[in-house]
Amino acid sequence: MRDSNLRKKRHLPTMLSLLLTMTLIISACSSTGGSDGADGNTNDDGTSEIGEQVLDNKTSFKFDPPISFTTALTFQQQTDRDFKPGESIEDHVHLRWMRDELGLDVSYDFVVPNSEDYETKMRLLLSGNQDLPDVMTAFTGLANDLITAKKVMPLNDIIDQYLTPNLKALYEEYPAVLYPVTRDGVIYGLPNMYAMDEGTIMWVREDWLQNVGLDAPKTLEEFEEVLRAFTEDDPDQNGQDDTLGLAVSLKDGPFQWMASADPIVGMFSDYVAQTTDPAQFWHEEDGKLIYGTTHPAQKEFLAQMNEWMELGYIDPEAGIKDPTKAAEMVASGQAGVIFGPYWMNGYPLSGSPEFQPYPNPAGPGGQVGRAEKQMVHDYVMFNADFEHPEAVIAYINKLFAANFGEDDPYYDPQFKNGWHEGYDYVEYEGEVYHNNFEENGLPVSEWPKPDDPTVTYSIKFPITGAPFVPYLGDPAFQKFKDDPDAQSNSAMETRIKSSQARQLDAGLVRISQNDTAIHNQFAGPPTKTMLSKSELLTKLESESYLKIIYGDEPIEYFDQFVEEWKANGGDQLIQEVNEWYETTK
Amino acid sequence: MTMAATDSSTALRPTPQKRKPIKGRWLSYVRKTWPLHVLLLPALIIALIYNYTPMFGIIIAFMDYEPWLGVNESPWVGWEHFEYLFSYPDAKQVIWNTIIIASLKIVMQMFVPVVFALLLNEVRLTWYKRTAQTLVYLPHFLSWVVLGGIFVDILSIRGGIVNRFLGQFGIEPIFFLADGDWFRITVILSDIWKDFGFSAIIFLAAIAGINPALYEAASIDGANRWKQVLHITIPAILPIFIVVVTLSLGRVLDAGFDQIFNLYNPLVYDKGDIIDTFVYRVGLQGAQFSFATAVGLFKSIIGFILIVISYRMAYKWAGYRIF
Amino acid sequence: MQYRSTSYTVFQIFNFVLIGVLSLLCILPLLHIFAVSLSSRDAATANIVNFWPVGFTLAAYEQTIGNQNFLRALMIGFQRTILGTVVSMGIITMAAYSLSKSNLKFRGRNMYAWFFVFMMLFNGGLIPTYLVVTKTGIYDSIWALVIPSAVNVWNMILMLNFFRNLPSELEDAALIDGAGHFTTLFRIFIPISMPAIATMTLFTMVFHWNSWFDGIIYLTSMEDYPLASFLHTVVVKENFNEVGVDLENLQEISNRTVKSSQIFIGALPILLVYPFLQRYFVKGIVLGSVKE
Repeated sequence: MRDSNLRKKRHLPTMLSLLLTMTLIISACSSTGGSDGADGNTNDDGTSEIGEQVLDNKTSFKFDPPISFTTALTFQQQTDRDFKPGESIEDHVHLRWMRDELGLDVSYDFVVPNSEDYETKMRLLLSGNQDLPDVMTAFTGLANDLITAKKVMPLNDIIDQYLTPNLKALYEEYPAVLYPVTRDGVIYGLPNMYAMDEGTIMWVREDWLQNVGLDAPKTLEEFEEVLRAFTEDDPDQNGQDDTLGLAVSLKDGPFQWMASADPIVGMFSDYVAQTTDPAQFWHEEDGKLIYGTTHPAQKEFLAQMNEWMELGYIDPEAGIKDPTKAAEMVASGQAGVIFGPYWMNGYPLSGSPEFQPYPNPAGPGGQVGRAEKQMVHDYVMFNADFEHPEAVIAYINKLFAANFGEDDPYYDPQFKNGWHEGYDYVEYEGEVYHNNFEENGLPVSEWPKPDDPTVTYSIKFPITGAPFVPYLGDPAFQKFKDDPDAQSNSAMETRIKSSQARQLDAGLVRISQNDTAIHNQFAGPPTKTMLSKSELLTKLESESYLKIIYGDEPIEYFDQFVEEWKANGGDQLIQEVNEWYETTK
Repeated sequence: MTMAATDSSTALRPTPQKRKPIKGRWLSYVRKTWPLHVLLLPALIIALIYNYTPMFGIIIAFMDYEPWLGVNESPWVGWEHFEYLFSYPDAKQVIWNTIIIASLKIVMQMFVPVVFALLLNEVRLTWYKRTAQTLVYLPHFLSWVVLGGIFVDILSIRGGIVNRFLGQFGIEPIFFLADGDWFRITVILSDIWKDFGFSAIIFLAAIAGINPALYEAASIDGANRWKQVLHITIPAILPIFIVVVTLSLGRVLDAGFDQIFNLYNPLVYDKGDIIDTFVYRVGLQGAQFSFATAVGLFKSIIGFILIVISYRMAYKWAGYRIF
Repeated sequence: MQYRSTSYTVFQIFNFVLIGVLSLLCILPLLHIFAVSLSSRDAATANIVNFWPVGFTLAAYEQTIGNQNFLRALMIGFQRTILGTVVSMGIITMAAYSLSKSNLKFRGRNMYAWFFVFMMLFNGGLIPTYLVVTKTGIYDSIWALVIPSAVNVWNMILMLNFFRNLPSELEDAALIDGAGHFTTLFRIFIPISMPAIATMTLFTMVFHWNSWFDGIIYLTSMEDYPLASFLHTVVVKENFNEVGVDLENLQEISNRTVKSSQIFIGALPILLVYPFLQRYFVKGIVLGSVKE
């Protein structure tokens, strides 16, 4: 507090003097960049020296003198249960470890609570021609701006030279992850990926099934019968007509992060309907990409939803509820079925043990499908002026190696049991504990954190987020299902090992249906029409879908909607997306 | 105390300086008024720097502004963004929605707080009055993000408190948030609910400033309470009322982004989508600074015209200059 | 002094009830938030809490009260509000005094008035304002939240109208006694305008207490956020379609009881400040009656 007071006082005279000299010109965004000598460790051949240092000693490199760099972060902290007392997002165990063990000194140019603010902040820095962070993360839209503005570094050589072979192999396996940040063969960003464990499964109330004498539905007919029974046969046996079948959020389109309807879409076709983003979902057919939302197959989906809506099987307020709101229906015992990810075990179903995970039911033609979320959440990009990207890459390699396991050349055995002892795990008398310390008879003095699942002390990684690798964790679900006490061999496994039994079951249900996942096949930068007509198209899509489901428009209206969609930019969109698609062949 | 007080009192003043030579007149003007200029100085300087300097940024409404190009290098596009706004297929609908929602809000905000202030002023129990005053202004402090979720609950057609209440009178459940007309009514009523207590403060302050001697005199003359309100309280708060109304007309294109954004959904786009939510959605695919500025400029111009007109009208009809 | 009649009594009762009902309608949401903050996590997730806690627990308050980040934000919120209110009220009061003079007494005041009214409507938007803030050196300091918003034209106009409606004899008398404008303003106008000043102070405090966007734009560290910006990070809805949920942010999403306790505590100062300012409303009346 004292510190910030000093700063205020220091600023006041500066400000007042500026008040007097202020001219009425703002366009003079004179470039004041390049004045920072913060990276005070530069000697002429520093770059190669550091590179060699990393390559010579992949597992235990340390930069001396330390390399300082800045970054920016999206981080939302509500309680102080994320950190040990006295630690904060700007000073915590992982940052100290980076500084002391690796010689990497990170500081934040800014920390904001959500991605919208992050983008605003970055664009303001761009507008003011202010220094961008040395290392930054960006999603496709902002990444596009940064590349167009020539503010970020080409990474092809650095990837070739320094990136761990396991990540290189990953990019080869999923080439589309690099498309949004590739221009004419030049790569500008490293993808931070999801664990890809969020694929939608079906959660059904087991006790209601028993009460109405039904099994978990496997087909559309059975599914409909369950919805009917849950709506009409008083499944909670309280003598009141206060239940319904499906809790779902349709406000922002059929595919949601929770309370989704994508498995219902997937019963009827391989084309995913998503009404809020023209960049998804695109599907290949005869060498061309076609748009899922306007595909005629969606008529069946819409007709079905409309029928259920009129019968009262679906929450009549699905159209005005966001996923959190829709999920209240199941948590409060008003609805018996909800589609969503495996983690719904922890929220919102933690207080509803009656819900059990099941595979998504099959459609009329035996069709099973669900939408797969995009693989990349953002890209790591380097400021074009940053001098030591290879040092940061070495750090990234080390993090991912912890998940890839011993075979990775950058594997550091210290991460075998978790990230930092005393934070996310503790070793006591040869055994490793991540939670349930009391149950396992650990003396209180040894507990790394309070024995309370809401206290996480999870590690906040400054650049990569948690270093996930798509689908890498899948085998571990079975492993720990078979033997909850099995030895964990990587950070990824450790994370899964600490799951509750129902969560493991749910994960296994998801894995069993991985082959039914439908991927978006457009992965380019936003096209011209996406930028200029997106609002119009998505409004048309969202409005038409909901109106048909609610019966405000007949199902035939779908064709009219598609015509309108095409006339208002849809045709151009299809053309541009396919032009991009040609370039990937 | 009356509206014409300021003008008439000064008009009666003799103006001897008229006979002086120009230079002397200037000197005497400076001698008499320099403190008034000095008192204005801090406001002027800050306004110049933080409000007027940025106004040069309005030119990006006529450009395709890209942050990394800056104002100097972004290409000029003339009226393109304004054309986009008006050629947008739903433009008429969106602008109409905005005007109708905003005007109804203005009308409600015009009368409800005044009436409430007058009613509250009649309460004799001081503690009751003060408590009520504090409680009614509370909703002003809750953000629409929080209230949005609460409104979905209380307006629910499955046992929401409002529909249960209406059900007592045999009224079928109303789908407030999914029916366009009801959506507008919900928006307007919830807006007045949220802010009437806060808006009433200004009138309560005006009432507090009334000289109690006036009431005493009226009492002695045998005027009853109603007559006192009519002839003392209302005239006393009329100037402030006119000021508030005139200024609020400048917001005829502000229908309340936060509120609509947190309550609306595709089912009510046709009746509930407003300019600001539209601009927000346009900006979702990458920030559209130029377009947002163009729309803002359009709103400002309309608002300014309305303020000028109502300023003139207030002067013509009520003989009162609000500023 | 009351004029007593049956109709007036009936009106009094009706009025009493009406105001009671309105007050109740206004307090209910906050009561609901309070009840949620005292409920169990699962009850909050299921949204089955109305106005009485379900599964009573103080866990949320233990977390909130013990949360250094929250407490720091609360303190900065106070700082910002006090500093911002003092600066803004000082500037506005002085300007409003000058502008309350008629154009005959103060030639040029109309020009000034329109100068301010114009800027009430027109603004340059986010980027140019941001650029000016960074170039004047107040970026990333509390002044960035205080100075750019200091000239609140709406409040200034209300204030000048209050001043203008003061009896003009007062000022004339003061000027005849040889008092200058400064003395008149500080010795006469301000003391007898306490209801108006209390009102404007309240408006300005409320503005500062509620503003969150400038904090996020002009400050670089969350540790410097005032409470409104902090609470924004608490209530804002992240788009998880884009961000993805892992087991860690799941904790945050489901933290509704803690969020509620923070919203509730954030509203408390407001509950307390108004009754405090109400005293000045009464004082104004007393002074007003003495003055003649």
